Amino acid sequence: MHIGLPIYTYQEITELLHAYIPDISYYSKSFVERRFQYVCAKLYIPSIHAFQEKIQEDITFLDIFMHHFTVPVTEMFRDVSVWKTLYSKVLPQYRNSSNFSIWLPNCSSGEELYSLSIMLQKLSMQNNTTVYASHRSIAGIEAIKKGIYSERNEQLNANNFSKLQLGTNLDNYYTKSFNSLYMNASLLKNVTFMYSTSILQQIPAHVDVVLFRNSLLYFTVHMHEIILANVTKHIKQQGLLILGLQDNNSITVLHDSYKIENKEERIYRKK
Amino acid sequence: MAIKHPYKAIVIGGSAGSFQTVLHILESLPKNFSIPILLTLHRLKHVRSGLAESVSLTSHKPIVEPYDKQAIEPNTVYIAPSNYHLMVDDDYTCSLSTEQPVEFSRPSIDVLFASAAQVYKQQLIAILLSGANKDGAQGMKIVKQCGGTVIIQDPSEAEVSIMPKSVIDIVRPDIIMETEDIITFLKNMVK
Repeated sequence: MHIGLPIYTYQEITELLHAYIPDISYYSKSFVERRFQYVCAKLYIPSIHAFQEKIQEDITFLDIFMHHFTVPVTEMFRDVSVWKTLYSKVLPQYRNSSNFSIWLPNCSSGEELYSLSIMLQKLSMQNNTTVYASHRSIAGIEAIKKGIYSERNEQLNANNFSKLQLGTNLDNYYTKSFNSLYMNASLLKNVTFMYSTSILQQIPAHVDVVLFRNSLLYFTVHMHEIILANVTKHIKQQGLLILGLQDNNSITVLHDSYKIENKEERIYRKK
Repeated sequence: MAIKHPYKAIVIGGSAGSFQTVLHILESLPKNFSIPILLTLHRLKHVRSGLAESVSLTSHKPIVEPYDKQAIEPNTVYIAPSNYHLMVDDDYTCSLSTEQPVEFSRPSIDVLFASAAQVYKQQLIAILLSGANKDGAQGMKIVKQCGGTVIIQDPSEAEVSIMPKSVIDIVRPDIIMETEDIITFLKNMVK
């Protein structure tokens, strides 16, 4: 994360990126400023001009940029109590459904997706469930499909998982080799990846549950309304929306179109 | 009573050994001390609740773990929620993030201080207390660059001095004080 005064202004960055990332203005000003600088540092881009040259000579660079621009989740089963509720109360509601569908509008670095997939496998629900996973970057999708994670977070992930008390260990779902964890490929057998060029595009038709935690944090308040209205249109009636624990709680759509299913875990049921 | 000081916000950071100091500062502030306070304390990552409740037991002020984009109001203390960075945005709202930890910390004091410095500039007071790592030092440097007032707890009083000392290594604090003097300084602002 970039700590420091912005080297480039929001205006300079968005003027440069607008031609390539039309929805760059959807993101909040402070996020664009610090994330652009973080990605430039990560990819060894020394200046805004170097960035411009790079993007003009290599169009695939844009995809790599978006891969790093997207904020990773950093751990599996983040906020254990939410996952406990998902496992014991939410998912079992759909156990007998013939075509249960879940959508992750921003599957980021894949930890939420794998956490969900482990639960679906444990509940023997993979065969009746389709998981739609949207991502802004093809490189990001490929990385998730490979399912290789650093062992750095292994203990943290295992601790989270053990608190769920599912009667099994997390290491049953991956193999370990050379400081990396290789997630079992079978976990993704019911996952459909969707590459989208904007958070408002490539939305699956009506789904039962949307897992959309901590993704709104990086957008403007104005976009919170628009994004959530758009997501809401694609949730079935009585379907569920799950937000991050500290996501904006004043979004009009949230109060107009949903009733609270679980206040603590930020789970909402569409009216 | 007219407020003569130029300050619009106070940010406080601390880690090991700072909790009792924070409680003491907050409980000592008079009711007419209306400047909003934003607080980042290193805390156990997976203990979601308890901190705000503990602080509110002794403070006269509402203690809030803010939602993203929640407006910063006078007379309120905002505590960085567990496992989120807390920042200040240009429109004087709290902004949260799950971006990578800084100095192994999320919430990070550097992140709060740097963002608040850019919004409040010379109208910000930043106070760094006891702690066992260097989080906060870079943030203090930016507070200073933006014209804010940099206060550190006297390292000789701090239970763990690494954090306040790390500020001295990279920037000259405006004031180095013991807790009671920090309280007096803050109280005098609204006299």
